[in-house]
Amino acid sequence: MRQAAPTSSKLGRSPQATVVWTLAAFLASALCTGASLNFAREAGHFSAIWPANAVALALMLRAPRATRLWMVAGAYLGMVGAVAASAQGVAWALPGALLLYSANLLEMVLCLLVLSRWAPRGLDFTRGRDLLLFCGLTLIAPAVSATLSTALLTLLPVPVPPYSWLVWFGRNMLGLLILTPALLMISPRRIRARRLKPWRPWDVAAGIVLLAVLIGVFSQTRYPILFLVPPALVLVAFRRGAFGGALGVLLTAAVSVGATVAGSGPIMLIPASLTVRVLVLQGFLVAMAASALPVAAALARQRRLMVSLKKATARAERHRRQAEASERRYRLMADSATDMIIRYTPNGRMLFVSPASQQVQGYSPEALMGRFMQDFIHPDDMPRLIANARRLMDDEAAERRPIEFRSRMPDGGWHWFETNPSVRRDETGAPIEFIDVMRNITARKAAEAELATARVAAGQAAAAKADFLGTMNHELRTPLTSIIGFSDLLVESEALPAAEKRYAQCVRQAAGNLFVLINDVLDFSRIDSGSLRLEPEAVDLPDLLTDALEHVRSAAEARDLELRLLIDPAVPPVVQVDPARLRQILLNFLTNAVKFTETGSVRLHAVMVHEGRLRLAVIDTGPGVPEERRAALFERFSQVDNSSSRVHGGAGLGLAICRGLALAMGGEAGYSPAPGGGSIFWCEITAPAVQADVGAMG
Amino acid sequence: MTASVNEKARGKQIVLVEDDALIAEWVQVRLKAAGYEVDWLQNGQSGLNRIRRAPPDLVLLDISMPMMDGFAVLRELRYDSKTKTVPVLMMTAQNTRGDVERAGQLRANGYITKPFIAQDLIARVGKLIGAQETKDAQGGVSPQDVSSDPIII
Repeated sequence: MRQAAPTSSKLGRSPQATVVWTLAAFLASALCTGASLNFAREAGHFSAIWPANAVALALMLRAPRATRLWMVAGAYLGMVGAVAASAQGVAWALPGALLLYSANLLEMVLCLLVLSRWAPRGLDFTRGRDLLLFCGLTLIAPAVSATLSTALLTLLPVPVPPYSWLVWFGRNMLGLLILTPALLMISPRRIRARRLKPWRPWDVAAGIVLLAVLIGVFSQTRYPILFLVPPALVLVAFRRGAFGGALGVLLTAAVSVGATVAGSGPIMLIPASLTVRVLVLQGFLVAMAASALPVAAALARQRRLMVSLKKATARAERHRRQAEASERRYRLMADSATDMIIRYTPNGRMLFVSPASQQVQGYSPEALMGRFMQDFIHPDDMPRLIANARRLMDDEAAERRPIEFRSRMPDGGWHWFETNPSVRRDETGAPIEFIDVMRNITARKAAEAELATARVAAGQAAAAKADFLGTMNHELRTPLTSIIGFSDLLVESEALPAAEKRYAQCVRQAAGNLFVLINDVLDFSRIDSGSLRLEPEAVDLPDLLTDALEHVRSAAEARDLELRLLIDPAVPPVVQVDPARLRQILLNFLTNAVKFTETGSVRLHAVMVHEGRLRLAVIDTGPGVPEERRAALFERFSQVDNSSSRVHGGAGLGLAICRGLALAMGGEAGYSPAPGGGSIFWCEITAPAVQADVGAMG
Repeated sequence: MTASVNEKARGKQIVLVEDDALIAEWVQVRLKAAGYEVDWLQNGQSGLNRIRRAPPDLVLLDISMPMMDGFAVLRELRYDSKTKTVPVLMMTAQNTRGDVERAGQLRANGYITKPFIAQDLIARVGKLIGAQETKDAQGGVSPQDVSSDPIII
């Protein structure tokens, strides 16, 4: 019902709009003024209603705020122009109208000022406050206007009867009271948007009743039955609200004024002057407006309340249904959850326990509800749980973390549980209760404990194995020292006969073989158990390689074999490797090569595969390895000559150890046949170059 | 016996601390043949007592011994000003670097790994005794000797 704020309309901003609105105000007020003057002249008396101010004001209230001042001026000029046009030949008509209608100007400005101050967003006639404001304005503004006009009339050289304060006041007031609300409520936008209620049969009937009553009352001059009009008007207002009431009042005014002017209607029964009759007519219309508009406003207000009440009821019902559905959902979740859902007060009393408690804790929900958590929790775990609860209660932003604790089962045993409570608070932030999900983690705990035990056992086993290896190393070397030592003494002894000396030499040689074998077995089990520890350091590589060759030099010279060392220029002189283990690999390869090569040469090559990866190859001119044996060469306990004769000793661990060592050094070991029939035993290892200055220190 | 008796070895006293009787016997045969006087003690404590009573020219010290091992004996020797400079040659059946490093930290003068042959033993002992003699002749410990690394086979 409230008028849409016109400032937002597109028309409002441009200068063209201002011109259009001003022109509209000018024309409307000119037409109304002209009509009133003509009507009065033809009737021989003055008009009972002054519509010009009311129509112009209704236009202004719909126009953008910025154009209103222009429109006031336009309306003023329209009225003056109409007077000047209708009173041709009267010399003082124009200045007289200019002077007199400044009272109307004042009235319009006053209305605009009051309305923009007290109803800046437009008038809503269905609201009591706006209705009261408007009625007050229709009293005050015409009163001010009438006072000014009466004062100005005395300035005119010619008296203009039958103007009086009361007449001026009455017709201006009626104009505002009857026309402005009706014009403001006819909203083209609302009609276009079909937001008007449709006219139902009863509405139409009410309108017809009013029209019939009006015709009946005002078409005769015999009976003073004016009292029939208010019920019909109220009926229309009752059916159609404020807008219908305003239209009804407008209709009543039109009919009554028209009839009275035509000399018909109950007003004519008054045996008094024309002025008195007009005053009575005005009084009648004021009474009509005053009875119809409040009824309509009250009805509209009631309807609004009903609508909002209905909406509120619907909303409440919707919320109730949502809450019920939500409650059902959560209850279903709580019922079907495999973990136990509980709510408990800050002092631990359980308010709600989900059915899962039977499985999780062994108690039914009924057995737990109302009891205290503390009755079940292991005393040793209480302080942690209490500390956590306190932390969550004290600090609203505290991070939730799961806590493990033991809780008593019906059989008296303790099970492990995991809890992760959250605090529910009231509007002031005070904690109301805890909501918690409890999970039986006894099985998990047991598995964790088992795993930990297994881990410890595995660690102990590895440590025991390493211990055993260390002890074996020591225990085997100690007697060997004596065997080697004493057999050396026997071999050196000059007192021993030649045969016995030869036996002693056999013991000495066997002891040496045993020593090699013990070292191999220990190395192999270290590699196998992963307990091999490398000790890399900065090593002068050419030194190491030369030294390795020196070890087999005497054996090679005995066979007249050529020994050669070739180091690629790209090989860095100092590298980070475990020298003992690298030497072990090389000696194995070189000893084998010398052992199996009858004639020719044994060469040691060093090249870089790429940066940080060193390749060492021992190339001989021996018989090579038969193809079917190559695959098993680096397997444990394999020997090239596996026949029972076994010319060459050893347990066949040497190459397997070499490969294990190479793998441990981040590389690989292998065999390739050399072109021309010999063998290539090679290994690749990770050997980062070391800066020369560091190497010089090592 | 073909081992030649070293003139330098005459009157030089070596204390052997070794729990294995067979090794101890063999080492004694070899060292005596080389001309040294050898006093054998079978455990760490008695060895320590013997050395404290009369510091010898060299100590041959086994590492793996029950109750008091060679490291413990060496530590005690190095705490005592009387025995601080006695040359000590460690013997062990362990060929891991841990033992070598530890021997170096405790300021052993050398380290020999079992099984070893007589020639090596005699050479090492002779070297250490000779060094001692040179030091005695100079009337003090040269900084070079103190900082020298343990000799490792």
